[in-house]
Amino acid sequence: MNWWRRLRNSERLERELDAELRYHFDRQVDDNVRMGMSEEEARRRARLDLGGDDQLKESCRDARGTRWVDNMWQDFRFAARLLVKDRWFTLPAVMALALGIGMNGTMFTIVNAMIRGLPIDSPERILSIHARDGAGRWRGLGVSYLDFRDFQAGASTFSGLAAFSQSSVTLGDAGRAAERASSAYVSANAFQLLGDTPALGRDFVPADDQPGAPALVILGSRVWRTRYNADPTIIGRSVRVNGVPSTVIGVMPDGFRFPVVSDVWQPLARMSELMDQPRDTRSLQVFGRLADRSTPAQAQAEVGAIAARLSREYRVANGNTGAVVAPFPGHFAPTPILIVLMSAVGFVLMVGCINVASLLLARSVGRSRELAIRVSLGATRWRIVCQLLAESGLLALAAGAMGFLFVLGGVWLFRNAVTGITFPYYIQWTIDARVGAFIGAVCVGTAFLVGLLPAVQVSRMAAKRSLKDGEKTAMSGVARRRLTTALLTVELALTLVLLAGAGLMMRSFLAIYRADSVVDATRVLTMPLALPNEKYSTPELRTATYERLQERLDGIPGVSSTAFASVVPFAGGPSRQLSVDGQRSMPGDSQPIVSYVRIRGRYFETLGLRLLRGRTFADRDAMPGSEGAIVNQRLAAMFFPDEDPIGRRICLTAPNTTTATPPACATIVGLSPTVRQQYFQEIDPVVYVPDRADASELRLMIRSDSTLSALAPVIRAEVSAVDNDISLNAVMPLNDAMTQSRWGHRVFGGMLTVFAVVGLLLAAVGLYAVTAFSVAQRTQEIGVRMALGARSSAVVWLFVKRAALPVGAGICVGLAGAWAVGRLLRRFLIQTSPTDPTVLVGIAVLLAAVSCAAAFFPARRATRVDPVAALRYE
Amino acid sequence: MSSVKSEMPQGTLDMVILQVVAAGPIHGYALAHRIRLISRDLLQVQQGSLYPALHRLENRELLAAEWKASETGRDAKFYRLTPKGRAQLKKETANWSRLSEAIALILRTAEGRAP
Repeated sequence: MNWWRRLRNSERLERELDAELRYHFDRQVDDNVRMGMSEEEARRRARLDLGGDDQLKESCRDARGTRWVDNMWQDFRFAARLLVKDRWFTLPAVMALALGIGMNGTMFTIVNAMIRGLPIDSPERILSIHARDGAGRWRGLGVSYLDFRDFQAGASTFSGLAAFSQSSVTLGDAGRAAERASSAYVSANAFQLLGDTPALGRDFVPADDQPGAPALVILGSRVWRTRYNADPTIIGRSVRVNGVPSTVIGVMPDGFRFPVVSDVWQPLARMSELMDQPRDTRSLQVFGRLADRSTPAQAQAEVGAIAARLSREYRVANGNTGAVVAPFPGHFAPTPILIVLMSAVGFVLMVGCINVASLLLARSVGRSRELAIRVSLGATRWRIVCQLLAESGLLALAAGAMGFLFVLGGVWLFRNAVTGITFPYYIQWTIDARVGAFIGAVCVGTAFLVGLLPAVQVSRMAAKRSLKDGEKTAMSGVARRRLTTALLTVELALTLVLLAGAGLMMRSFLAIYRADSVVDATRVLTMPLALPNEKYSTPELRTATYERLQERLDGIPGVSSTAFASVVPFAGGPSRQLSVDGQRSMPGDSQPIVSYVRIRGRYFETLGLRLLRGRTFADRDAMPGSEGAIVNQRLAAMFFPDEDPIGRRICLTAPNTTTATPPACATIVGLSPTVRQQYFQEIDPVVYVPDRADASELRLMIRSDSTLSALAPVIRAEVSAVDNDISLNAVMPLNDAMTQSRWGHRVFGGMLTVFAVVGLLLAAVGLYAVTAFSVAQRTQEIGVRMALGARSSAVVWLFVKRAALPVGAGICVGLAGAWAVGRLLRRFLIQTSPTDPTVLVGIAVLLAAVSCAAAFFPARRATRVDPVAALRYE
Repeated sequence: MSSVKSEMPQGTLDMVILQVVAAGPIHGYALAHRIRLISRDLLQVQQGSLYPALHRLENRELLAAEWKASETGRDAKFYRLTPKGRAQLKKETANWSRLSEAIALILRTAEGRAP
């Protein structure tokens, strides 16, 4: 029988043991009687021979090897009874741990969702290939069509390479308003490499992806459901994509929106002029599935070798270009902020654990007599440690259960906080098995963290102490006080780090908020506006249409100004390398990077801005030979610190082209206030240039005095009046766009603040409890002091003094930690130094004040002790 | 009955039990009896160690047990040797004879110098 069967059959085994021993006893009695003893004497002798009945049975049970299960069960039952009895200790302890576990679980759910990758089998086998420049400054560049073909031909470590390019398209059907949808051009093998197949119809085949092939389209299920009412007969029907009649050949399954949020897919060959693009127009994203038995390192080696060959063969276009293999898709959010947030919740949990550990330690003083009795009755030290661990295990279990509820709540809160922000389709804030395993692991870790230190400490004491020692004095040694001080120091240091991180993030958020408030966004509507490519094929046609649109829109009553821009403020946008004429810039990575916006119409007026110097654009600023540019103040401050920027010449180079393409140069004609383009980083320098209608899609911005919601239908009507094929959707107040662009700082900063506040509260409670406990413990001594005439302030000082050591040490250690956190957060900090003295000093003062209060109140209670009562206390 | 009785040397009880059981299925009481008998009353096995030892050997699957009618007609727990037990017994007896010979040798040669 294995031990599990023995355990399950323990009742039967017990009966058999009984019967076996009884048989032995009865035979012995019989034999004894036969040898001439009286019945009574025979029984007595038999009993003596057999030894203590219970002792014998115990030894037999030991032989079964299932003793530890019984012990464990016993320990857990005992622990449960104790915890229920001490509910005023249990409840706060469970609460503190549950908060920590809940926060960790929530944060892990978020991180897990962000790093989980594509929802396919073995997503880690899908890798992307990026171009990078020689200096390594631009790493995430796209790949040109020609390079892609060469990689495809040469890469044997991949079972296939696919390419895609994101865009948006206008979907049109006879008799219905056109609709804008995000879309992607994909090579015919893209879905097959991912392992995804259409839910309806068929996938692209290589023949579809040839120049001159008929126009085909695959729809996403969102568009299929909303625009085509989930009509299954859609396959084979013709819809107009950017004005081109295209046959629907498939519908992808629900939730599939590769690569990010696309709802419409066309073959790569449909991408206009792709085949004619030069080798340094890196407009494609390339990914592949690793071949069986290939490793990412091998793939990198091979791709690197191909890139090196290409850069030798095409010295002009690729001379300075390499290639990198990276996980696909890359991490969604900047990694440092996730590290900071994960550490933050880890810190909160540690603070919680330290609290509970020091409470257990304090409680164990009252139990040292109980433990001493157990030791003298023969309990081994291991048994005592086990019993104490059972207690902390139960605490962690209860906290884990409650923590799981907190996780559900936390994830719900997070989802609410990020509604309206577009995340890639593969990011789903769900609690999966990995999250469950994580929470389980955290619970086990918590049990040991909380229990081990007090258990070891107590059992050491219990082993040393004899019964006759007074239970009060047994534990109040210097050792325990030192241990408590150390725990408090760690706790306060962690709290300070948390607070500093939150403080820096908050200050950054305020800085962005202040910077953004130069724009008067309350009365501005923005929307993407796209001219169908085929209909408006030349810049002249497009310019004429933009001008007509502007005329009509300006005529709407209440509209005070309209403008077009390649990208609205705060919404990101392309970057350029800047060089200032006359200042010969170094090649490679010393060139500064600026944001770049093409504008048309009364852009600054629409945003409620007035140029600080110079003038707005005139027609000639768009003419070759007399190009003009407007820069923002941030750029002027960075590159023309003590000079007048007006009249200076600047040149911009796109990062994905090389020196072969001449940079676009322009003379600065105006200086605008600083308006941010990028999020997630320091407020950026921006160059505005006049739009030359090179692209068919622009953002429309309209400033109006009338209600924005009433304005949207009027705008639609006016645009339709110009051309029904011009699509217009996602009309949004600029304010919302601004808020969305701050989501990272708002959500992550907010979370960090919540973590920090919880940490501070836990630390304060911990300090309070420890001080209160030591007051209670020394009631007698206080009574003596007061009876001998000690002033109450001296008594208070006695306890506050003791708290001062961990507070001081904690702040010192914490400041060092805060410095490290500041460095991690650096990329996320806006106009805030990682060692911002205001934040750090403020936080230290706050922590010191809260700590003093937490120590002061219980200490003051000590002075209210009636000396007579205190002396009788024992 | 002799008044000089020897304690069983540490670790040999198991071997003795296995040896006795090897003769055929036997229950605890008879086992104790037989050990005393064979050793001519020199070895006294305490029941306090006999039964835990039996259970230990059963759990190590050196012995197997079944309930059947004993010579008195009452059901008793009979132990018998398993193949594994037989192998173990062989190993332990070999071990033991080597050990006892060695000790006897030492005692013989060192006899003269004993105080």
